[in-house]
Amino acid sequence: MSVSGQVNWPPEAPVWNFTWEVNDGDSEAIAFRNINFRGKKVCHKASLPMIRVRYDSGAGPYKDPLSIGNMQGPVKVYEHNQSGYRHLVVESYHRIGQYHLVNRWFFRSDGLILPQLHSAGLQHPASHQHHVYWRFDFDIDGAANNLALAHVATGGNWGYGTGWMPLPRETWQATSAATGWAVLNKGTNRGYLIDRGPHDKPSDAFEPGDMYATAYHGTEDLKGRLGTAYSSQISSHVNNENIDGQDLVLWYIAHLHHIYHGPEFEWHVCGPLLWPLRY
Amino acid sequence: MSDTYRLPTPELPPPGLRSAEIPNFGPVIVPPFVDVPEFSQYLTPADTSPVEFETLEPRVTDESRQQAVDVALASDRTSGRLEGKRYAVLEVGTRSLDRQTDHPLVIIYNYTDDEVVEVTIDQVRRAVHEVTVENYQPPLTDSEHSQALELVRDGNQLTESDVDLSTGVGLIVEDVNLRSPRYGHRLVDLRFGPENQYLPTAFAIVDLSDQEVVRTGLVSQEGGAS
Repeated sequence: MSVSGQVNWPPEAPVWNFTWEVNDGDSEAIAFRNINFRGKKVCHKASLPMIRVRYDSGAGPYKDPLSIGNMQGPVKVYEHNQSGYRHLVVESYHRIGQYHLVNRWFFRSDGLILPQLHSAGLQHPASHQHHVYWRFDFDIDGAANNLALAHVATGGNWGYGTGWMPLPRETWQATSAATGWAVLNKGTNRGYLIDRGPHDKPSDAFEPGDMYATAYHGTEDLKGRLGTAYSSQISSHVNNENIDGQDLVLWYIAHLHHIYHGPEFEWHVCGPLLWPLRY
Repeated sequence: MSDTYRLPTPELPPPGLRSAEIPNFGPVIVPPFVDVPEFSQYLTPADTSPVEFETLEPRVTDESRQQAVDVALASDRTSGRLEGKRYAVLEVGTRSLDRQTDHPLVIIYNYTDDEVVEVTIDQVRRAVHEVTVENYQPPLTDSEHSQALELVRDGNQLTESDVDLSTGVGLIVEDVNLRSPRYGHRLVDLRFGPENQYLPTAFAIVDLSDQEVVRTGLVSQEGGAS
């Protein structure tokens, strides 16, 4: 049965407002909608619609759907305090095959967003790589007039700071080409900067991309139905369409490598850091 | 936050300039593994408290889902695709048309031809909006999981090895070898073993399209192919 809730937090003086939902029949874990920080729009929607796992042994590969069907217990919404920061935490716990997966999102009181995927368990006793796909349908100060940027190692200045290169058209990149990304509203210059997580490994042949930027089309929001175990197929949405000043979607991919040494305590986590800019 | 970034508009700080202490709550493994070391006691217990939220009506209600299935199966546009085929309604999801509009999406698997028939339902008109045929493998459903276990049980291969078949957990796998007789089939990779143990002890690959067990075996605890 689908579940949904509206959160305004902290209750005494809300800085975060959004709805969350887990829809029966969709496979995107928790979908956050209409995310606002300090009363200003951040995302139309944010979700985790795809995980793909490749084993070195040749078994699989698998596409792990995070759905209400494999969710264990209810969605948890709670506050966590650490190092002087308050965090709003929304999480779901899933069991898929032999895997134990925790889809945990931290919304820090200063605007930092930490989507985290924790993984434990093995389908096969072999080294493997999880590829975790977050989809951020940014609406920085609204759907219109958004701009994606990549921080390129080659330097250069396009007016957004050294190395920050605008991405005027749909594209994809690996961290060998860019070390971070941002989405700005061109009118207000508010935005979010996307840093790679400390445990996120480089892309590989199984998933060469670390980021895809596409124009928003409602029909491309496939809620877990995009891609196969063998291919994410996000590139099918990359058609050189103009995204400069448009409503855009940014996919972030974390690559989580589990080297199998034998039965051992293991618990892996990956996920980006999304920093607010001028909120 | 505006005090933190006193850069000339619209300049951005470089990636990695700021660092954050990412909370670490340790693993969630229920039930816990009993055959691998556990180190959670070294973590500081998380300081948490529940947050109240307002429960909302789902985007597509359970009643609408059932109506959607009824409308989909009654439609000539759907039945024309499924006549004479072995099929099952796997699930009812949602399809976005635009930022405001979500319709129920009835997902039907045709095991005869190994294709997915997706039927988008207009809730207001209670009519089929669109029927499309797709080639992908939807997630394994509970019903399919039970079918796969039943096929393994009927085959008796693993019961002879004292494998408790009730522990089976499954994932969809795909055979992409064009020359394989299993190409495009709906294949389930089942793993068996006590749920409080780190590694599975046995496996079975089941073909739901052909309704047969492809292979079974024991999982090497030392690693390697299985």
